[in-house]
Amino acid sequence: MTDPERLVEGDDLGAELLRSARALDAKHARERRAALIGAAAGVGAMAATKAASAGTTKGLLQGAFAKWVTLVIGASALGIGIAVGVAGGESDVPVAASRFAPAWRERTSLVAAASPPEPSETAEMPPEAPRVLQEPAPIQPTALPKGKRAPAAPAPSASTDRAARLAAELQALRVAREALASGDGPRALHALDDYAARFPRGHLALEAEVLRIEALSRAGDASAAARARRFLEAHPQSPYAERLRALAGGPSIP
Amino acid sequence: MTTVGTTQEGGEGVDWALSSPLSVAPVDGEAAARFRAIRDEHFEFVWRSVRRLGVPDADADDAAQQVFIVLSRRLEEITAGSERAFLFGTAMRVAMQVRRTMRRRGEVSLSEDEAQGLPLEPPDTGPDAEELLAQRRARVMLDEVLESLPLDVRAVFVLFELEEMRVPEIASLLGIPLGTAASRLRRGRELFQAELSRVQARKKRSIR
Repeated sequence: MTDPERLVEGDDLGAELLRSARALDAKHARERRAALIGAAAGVGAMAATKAASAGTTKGLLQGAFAKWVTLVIGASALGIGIAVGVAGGESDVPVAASRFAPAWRERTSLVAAASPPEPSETAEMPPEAPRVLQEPAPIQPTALPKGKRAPAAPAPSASTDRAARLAAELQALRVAREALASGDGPRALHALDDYAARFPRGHLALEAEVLRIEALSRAGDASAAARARRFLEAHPQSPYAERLRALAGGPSIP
Repeated sequence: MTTVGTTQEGGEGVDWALSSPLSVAPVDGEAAARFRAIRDEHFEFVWRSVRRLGVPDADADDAAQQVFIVLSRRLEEITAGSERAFLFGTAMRVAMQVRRTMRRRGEVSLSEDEAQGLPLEPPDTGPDAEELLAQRRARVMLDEVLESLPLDVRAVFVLFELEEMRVPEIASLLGIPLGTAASRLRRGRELFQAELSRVQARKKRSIR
């Protein structure tokens, strides 16, 4: 039996819609895989390579960076600040020295020892899909994404390349944060989409998610509260927990 | 933590469990390794499938994770080589469940909700922003058109047109006769074209 010709191969509107959806779904699926499984898979990878000093934040980063870099995004009007100290070589500079350090450590130590919410024991298919947000940001010390809009000015060595990448991540989030601070929710969301597309395994994905929740909330999007609750379930001890609790209860922030 | 399987019968094996829907602890053990291998190989397929079977973007992560929870519970029953078929069948049931829940909550009109959430103009200038917006609008319109297809027809249609599977592969994946797969595809294509014309006409009227 011969298959009929696919509509998607035509040149009408239907074909256009199908082609577009095919590309968009594939892109989203890749991004979500990176965000959800990248971290989960990281548990195994990290455990397996603990002896090779990749099991701790410091070891991981020492391996990744030749010299320490400290990049700080100061507190914005909304108060989100990210300070990441990266220690490498023989430097004594602390790995992270800010109130956001727990978030960084939490992300890199991942979820192996945590006790996240349990899926339902009884129902094969509970009426509500599980509200569990996975660790969205795996640390991938060896792989750099090669997106079409990769960070500019690639560095000659792996370590400076990574530092440049982190700086680019911070810059991308700064755009989102500034848009949010100026009340431009759509622009903030666009900047966050851009961040997600450029850094599907971004080191700052947790911070990006917090910004997204705030942007959605500001836009009056009802999904903000659910996302905030999921974030809180997954990261109850996060330094962002307190600010998100306020958003978990209602659809908008003042 | 939910214990979902053991590596051996009789209690001497190491229990493995899902510490969360997609991660397994401890990391060793035959069943845990198999779960991870299936998850890593098929996650994107499952995510695309739930999305294309009518789960909106915002719920697709949860729906995909739900599929893998079911997988973890039924892992021992799934024979090698039938994983993809099991996952797609489960994705269909999860998608149906999500949509039913949404209908109960009065959130049926996925595409309209999403369409309303889209800005009229690109939030930023530049070809990337415009392209992204165009893609999203197209996706919303496609969702609207696909809503007119019954789920079993829709499944064959999206596997053929979007996953680019061949009809015999689809029949095998769904466990249906070849003729049934072919007739569902025909039906899907007819409904798709008819609904597309309706949506186009409606949009033209609304612009006037």
